[in-house]
Amino acid sequence: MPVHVVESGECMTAIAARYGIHDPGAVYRHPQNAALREARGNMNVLLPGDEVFVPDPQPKKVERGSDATHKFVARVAVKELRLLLLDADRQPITDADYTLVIGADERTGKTSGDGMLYEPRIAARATEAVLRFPGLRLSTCLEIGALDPVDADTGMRSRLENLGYSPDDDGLAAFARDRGLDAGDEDGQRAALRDAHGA
Amino acid sequence: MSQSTKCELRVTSGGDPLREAWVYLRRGGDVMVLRADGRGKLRKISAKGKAGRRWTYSERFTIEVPCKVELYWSAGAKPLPKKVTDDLSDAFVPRDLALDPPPAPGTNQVAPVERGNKTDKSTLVLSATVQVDLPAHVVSLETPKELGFWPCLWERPSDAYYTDGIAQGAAWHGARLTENDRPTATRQTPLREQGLTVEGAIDAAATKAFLRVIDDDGAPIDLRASAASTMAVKEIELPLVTSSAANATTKTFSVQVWLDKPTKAFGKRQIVVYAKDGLPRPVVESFYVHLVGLQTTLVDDAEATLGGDRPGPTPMESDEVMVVDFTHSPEVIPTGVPPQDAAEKAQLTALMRPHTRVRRMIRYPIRTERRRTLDAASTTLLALPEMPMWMAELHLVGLEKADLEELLVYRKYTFDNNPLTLDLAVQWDLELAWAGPDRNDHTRHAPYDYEDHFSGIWSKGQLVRPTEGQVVRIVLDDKDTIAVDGQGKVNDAFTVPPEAIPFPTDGRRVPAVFVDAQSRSWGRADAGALPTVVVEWQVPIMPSAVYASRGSRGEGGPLATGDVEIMRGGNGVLRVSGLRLFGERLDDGSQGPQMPLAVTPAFRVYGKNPSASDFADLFADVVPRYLADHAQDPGVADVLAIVPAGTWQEVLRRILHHESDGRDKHFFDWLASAPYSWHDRRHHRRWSHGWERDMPLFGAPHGYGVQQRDPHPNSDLMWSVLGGIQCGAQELVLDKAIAAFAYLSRRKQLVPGDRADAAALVREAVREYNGGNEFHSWNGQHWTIQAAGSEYCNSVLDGLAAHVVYGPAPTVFLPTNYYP
Repeated sequence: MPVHVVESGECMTAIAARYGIHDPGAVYRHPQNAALREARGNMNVLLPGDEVFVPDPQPKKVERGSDATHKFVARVAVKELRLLLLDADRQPITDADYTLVIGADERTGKTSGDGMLYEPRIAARATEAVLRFPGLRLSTCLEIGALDPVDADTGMRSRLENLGYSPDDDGLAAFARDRGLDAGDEDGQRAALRDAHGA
Repeated sequence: MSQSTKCELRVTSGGDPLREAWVYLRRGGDVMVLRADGRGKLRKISAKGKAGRRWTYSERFTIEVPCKVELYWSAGAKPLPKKVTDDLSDAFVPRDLALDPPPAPGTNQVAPVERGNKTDKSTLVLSATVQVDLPAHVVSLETPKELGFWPCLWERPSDAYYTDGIAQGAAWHGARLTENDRPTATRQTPLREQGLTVEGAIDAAATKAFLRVIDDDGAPIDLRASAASTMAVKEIELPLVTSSAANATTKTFSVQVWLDKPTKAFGKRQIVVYAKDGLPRPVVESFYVHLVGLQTTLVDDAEATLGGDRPGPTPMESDEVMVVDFTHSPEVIPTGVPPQDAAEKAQLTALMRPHTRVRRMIRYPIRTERRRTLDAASTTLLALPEMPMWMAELHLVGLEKADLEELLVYRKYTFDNNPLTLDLAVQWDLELAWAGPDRNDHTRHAPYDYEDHFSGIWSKGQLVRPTEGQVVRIVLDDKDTIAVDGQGKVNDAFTVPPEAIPFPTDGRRVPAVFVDAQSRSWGRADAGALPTVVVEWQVPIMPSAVYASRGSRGEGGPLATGDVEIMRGGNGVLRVSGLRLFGERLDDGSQGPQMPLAVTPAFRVYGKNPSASDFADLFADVVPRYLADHAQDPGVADVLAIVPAGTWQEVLRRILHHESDGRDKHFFDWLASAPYSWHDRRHHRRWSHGWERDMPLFGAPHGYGVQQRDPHPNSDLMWSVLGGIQCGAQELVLDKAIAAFAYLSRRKQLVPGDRADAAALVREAVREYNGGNEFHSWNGQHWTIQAAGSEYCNSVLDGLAAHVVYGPAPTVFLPTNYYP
């Protein structure tokens, strides 16, 4: 029953998978992770240094007779990715063909009518992917699971970057101005940033 | 389906990202101002941003490609105004923007969603990025520092400033001026501003470079190339200095510029440096500074109210009056000229007239109007002397609150650690000095010539003198404003919180820092007030070991010690000897009081005499108190046993009356009947300038004040009518009467109750007060006066029975002469 100290780029899905647990929710909801849940609110948005209690995996024992063929289905931990993609004018990139390259795995797809990209099965241990829109000559490297909480400066900057603002205090101030937020209420600004970005 | 062809722009210079710079993109004649962020990516102003505030340039900038554009960049805190970029359009370089080769991908950090969560997401704004490289250039400014103040200072007044337009010497010798006589002629050479220094460097290839000072719209401020020039120019050529280093990449420049119309020049400005010659294309940079007038003044709050609880008027040039004094005194009767004849007087007059000096000066009084008790135990209200209730002011003229806030906001968003404060440290020195009419006479005693320096802060009930002077901290709040009260005052602005100096009265106003609702004239010419940041301080004029002092200390003991006010008059000057703004010293730290940054013109502190009745009340209270306080001093009891204290009091009253020419005054103020600067102050073949208006009464060779103490009294007694009275009591009873008692006792044992002995003691003490002795022997029945001649005793005791008709010596001192 180790306590795992979160490193940069790790999310709960990846941590659970590392310890042979297919359900990251079971780890996250463990009573000994109550403080973590209280602090983070999202199991895939952790901060380096966070401590995660990892319960012992519960191996499933199945008895089957010999000299026969049996089919076993193992549950594999996966990450689900949902992205809202906007163009430079912050308009949804709709019905656009994309390629998502995760290691050797290359997938293609099309964004939805509201600009959404949804990939439900990405290997839990995968941390990087390249997203391309060949027709638009757009591409970006995705660091999956590396998003820090918004109350950390790293998390704030990442969200500003994702939303098209400069990833610094100036960007946060601009975001606040655009949303009509109180210039002195940084907590409120960060909360709004989290809501605008998602995750 | 949206198929965006818009791209972001990343700008490099020499291959490295152009970080934190303004980029000007010209297309079709229009110039768009953009900002390169920390990675060289261009940002445009956000929807609610303000032009020129780089931290509001946070919107991702995109441009349709392919396209042709022209670009320029600058590194200053503010972008170049359009007028500048228009004037130097050749500075732009053309570039073709295209997406070939395809841009490298960016990086975005995203979070997976929890299984089953149908709404969570990560939002990404995606656009392509085109990289473009621009030529590097170097234009830097060392002085003034960008995002700081560029202070304009006044020249230090020369001696000629005070006498400008006023004939000197003979014309005023013996003139009779009233208290408020003002110069009829205007100044021919008013005080001028000093030049402002600009130092920096520019690309070594440049062969000519120029400087402009512009406002936010790019309009140039009128300059002059020299102090003497009368021609306004829009720009000044910078003298470029080639470095001796073979591989130097820059040339340096250092120049002084003068403002043609300073009051129109103050404000938020940009110093623009540009060069064309010798370069492939022009380079131009601008540097944001706040051009501010820096000056100091001295306000007398007692001018508004005697309690000093309201600000007094700011002294202006129109308030100056003519102050007559002299530069040399006394003159010696020329050899061969018989004393005390017409020839003597004529020759001496000719000698002394050139020493007469007339200056334009602000005058501050040592007042005696306000009545108060001498100490806490007393209930008698007296007209005691008080120094001016000075509140010194440092002015940052032409600095509005909004502009100061803007400067602080720029600093906050530009410098590391996001500084929020204006720290201002001011060191000052108030000098008071005076040389009396015996200034050049060292034959008998030291002449009176003093110079004291005062500074410090009255805080927590004591005088403190922080090494750095008073430090003021003005803080930008989280709304990027400076909090002030209704009067524009910043609360808690002082690092060492000053308290109102508790003397001469409680209730004086407390020094403050104002950043709003205040305006002051630049200079003293009533040329119209400008918004001004004002930093105040009081100068405690009090006895303290920390004060520097020179000159003869005189005699008579201190009038007061401890935390009380002392009187000092004569000529004064307030100097701001050191100033640090935003951590930068405006001086090099080595400048002492002789090289101030800002200085008031020399002023005059003069004495006001109490009215006759106030003087009588003061005398009646002070003398008995003084004699009682010293009744146990050695020898005093013997004297008081022969002549009671009340008699000594009356004798002293008569002495002071006589010594003050029958007026009971400490300072010379009777112009109606006497010349101003010349009076018969002859002594032992020397003629002194006798009476200087409202200065302590003088009697040659070294006597001063209502009591005419000679050798002169110390400064504590010199400038206070209270001190004069006390000094007289000390002189008569503690000094001369005791000496007279000893003198007479060597001839006869003095007997209490013996009228002859009492009268002799009084008369001898009076004679000794004037110097010398009158009684020489006891003939067994009477005291006899051996020496004939001096009428001093008769003059002092005139009208009393003590008048003696001197006959052939010895003159018998008879009961008809006895006093009391």
